Amino acid sequence: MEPLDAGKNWVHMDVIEQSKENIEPRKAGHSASALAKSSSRNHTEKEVAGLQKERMGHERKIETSESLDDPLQVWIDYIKWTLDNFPQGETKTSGLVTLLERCTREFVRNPLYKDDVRYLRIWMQYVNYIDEPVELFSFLAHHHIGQESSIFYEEYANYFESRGLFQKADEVYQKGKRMKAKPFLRFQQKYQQFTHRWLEFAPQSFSSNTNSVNPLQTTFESTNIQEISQSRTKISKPKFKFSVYSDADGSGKDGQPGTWQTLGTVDQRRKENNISATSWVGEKLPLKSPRKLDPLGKFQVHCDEEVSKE
Amino acid sequence: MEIAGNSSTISPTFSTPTKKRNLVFPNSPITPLHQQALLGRNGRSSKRCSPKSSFIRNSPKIDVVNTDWSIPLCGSPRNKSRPASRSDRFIPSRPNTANAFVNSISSDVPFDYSESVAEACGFDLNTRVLAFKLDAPEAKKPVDLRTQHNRPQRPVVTPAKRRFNTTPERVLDAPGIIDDYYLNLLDWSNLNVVAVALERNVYVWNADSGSVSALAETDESTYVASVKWSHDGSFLSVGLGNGLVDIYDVESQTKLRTMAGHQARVGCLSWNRHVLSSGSRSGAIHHHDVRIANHQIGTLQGHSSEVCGLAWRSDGLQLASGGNDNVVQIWDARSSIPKFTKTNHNAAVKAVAWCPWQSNLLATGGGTMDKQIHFWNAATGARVNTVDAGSQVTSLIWSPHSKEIMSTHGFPDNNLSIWSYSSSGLTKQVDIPAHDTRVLYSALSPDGRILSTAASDENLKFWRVYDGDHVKRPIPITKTPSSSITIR
Repeated sequence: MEPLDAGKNWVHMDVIEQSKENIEPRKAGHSASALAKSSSRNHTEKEVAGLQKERMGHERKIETSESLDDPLQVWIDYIKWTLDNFPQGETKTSGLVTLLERCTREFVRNPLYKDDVRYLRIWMQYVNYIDEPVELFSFLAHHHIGQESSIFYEEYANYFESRGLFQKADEVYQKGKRMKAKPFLRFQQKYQQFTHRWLEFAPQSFSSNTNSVNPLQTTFESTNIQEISQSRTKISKPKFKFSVYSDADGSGKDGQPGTWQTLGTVDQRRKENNISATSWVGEKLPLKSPRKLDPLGKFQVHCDEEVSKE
Repeated sequence: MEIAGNSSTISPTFSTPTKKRNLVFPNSPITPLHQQALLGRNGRSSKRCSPKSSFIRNSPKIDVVNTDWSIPLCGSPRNKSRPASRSDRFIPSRPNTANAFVNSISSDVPFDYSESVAEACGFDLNTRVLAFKLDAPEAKKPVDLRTQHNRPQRPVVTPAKRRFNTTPERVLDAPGIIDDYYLNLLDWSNLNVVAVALERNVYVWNADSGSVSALAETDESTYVASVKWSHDGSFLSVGLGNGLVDIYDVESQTKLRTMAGHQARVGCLSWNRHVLSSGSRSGAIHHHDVRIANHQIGTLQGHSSEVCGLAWRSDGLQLASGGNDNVVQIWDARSSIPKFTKTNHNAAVKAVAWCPWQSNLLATGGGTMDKQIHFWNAATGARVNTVDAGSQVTSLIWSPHSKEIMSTHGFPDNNLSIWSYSSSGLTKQVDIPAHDTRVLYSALSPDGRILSTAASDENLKFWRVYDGDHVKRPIPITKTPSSSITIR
């Protein structure tokens, strides 16, 4: 804040350079002062205990956050603290994914945060850590979270674009246009930039863009009611094979949308695919082939009279 | 057109006399030819050498035909030679002879005779004699081109495919392992003992007997930054966060000595028989002879930032080091000036590995902003191969059994890759999603079949990357594992 105060608030890049490989690349970037602070910290027990103490402070604030006017802000502060102190991102010690999961699930049915950009941004951070982002966007659409925000459609389209699915990304933008996503000016700019990139990378698919059936219709339409067919032909004879009804226009009608209560955490969805870690005692891993022998034989290590010799 | 006109004019001529002669030969197929012969006689008997025809109905075209027939006949002076010339020049004369024969004997013989003559001459009695061109002979069997062009290709014999297990054979708990790219907290000795550093402690797990012991514990003001077994598996070197290097005897579970010298943490260690080399955060590399009291026998000052990768070649003649300054240095054992300095990487170089079956080949892997794996000829300094691994490279391990190299990765994929190496390039064999977080540490079992990896998701996983008997090339597995990837 005070530019004349030399050397006080400045961040030296040498400090950050020391730990550059422990910094996870983030779209939003990192705070330089937070990076310098976490880089200068070593792995001693005192440092770890200090971090744990700060974490307990944030946990206590969360426990008492229900009586606040804006309980989301407490979570936002906690997430920011985690991101600042753990530039590696998700580790067991940082618990970033678990924290994001707790925060996102806390306010799913809270009408106060349906269109809160801060809440949507937390969901967008969480997208990077799950294996099926499409399901997450469908879940958000189902619960009407962030549907009028431009960030939702930009992130959704960016996901498709990163996989080369420009057609699907364009459909997401079309949906955002119909919903008048706000801020609309930025949304239009993003769409124009996307169109330029589409022309640049995949001009064939851009020129052959036809208005086919919108595959996002199934995802977004949550008020569609299935028509019950009134005409039912009476079966006079018992047949071995039954006939499957085929729609005239070929498009599958939407069924009744069920309630999608929870998205499930990363660990829940993969628990059958993971082998849980066991303790070491008793575990054996014998080798098959004989071990290599040192051709030079054994050597002796010199023992100091005093162990801690300088 | 003229010939066509001739053929068309002959037909009505034949049809008219047929009605007259129905009484004589009602079922004879040679009637038109007979009538033609009679027509010729009438022409000549009525008027000798006269071009005009006595038939009123005939058109001028028919006159032309008659003129062509009568001129050579008029040219012959003798009456006796006329039948001979007719028989020689015109085929219809033969039915005339057959006709005389019929008058004398019976009606069956001329039919057979004319049929045999037609067959001999290639005629068809039901078709026109003076047709311009005979029809092309029809094929006896229809040709099916599809069978000729759509022959099934012979199946290509594919070689036996190698299967990779994508599930770990063993998962052990590693609570408190530090998530730091610059440390080396895992090593596997030649005596089948795994050493893992967890914060301030070093735990030693004997994979043969299953016993676990806490070998070392540091002062609470520091932590363990690196562990490395000596080649015979008797001694474990431990680099600390405060710059000290400890030597432990595993058999007696005691610390033998502490060697000072570095001002910053020692993040990587490498043994060359009785000489231990240590790399520091200050960028210095020290050589320690552990047998003598004055242990520091050499200092290499080539890196301007932390040394995070250090590896001696198996013959002990060269040392490769990678640093946080994105530089790879190759040192000769008896020199303190680097033999080669490589600046191709754009990020820190932690993964440094010498090839066990080609002594001059060195593999190095770059960090987040680089993601490249370079291969160097350490004799000439040339870069012989490069591959884009797609993720931060945290370690490289050559396979002793086959010409392959394994790489572990961090941001953003956290995977374990196995590459097939050849002089023409690398081919990725498999990508195994190993951990939830960055795969930071790895160690190969002494038999070269199991690779252990550790990450900050606090799991220590063991992957059976090679399975087979004592052969140079691994035998394909006949038994299908529960989870495996079949790749071509």
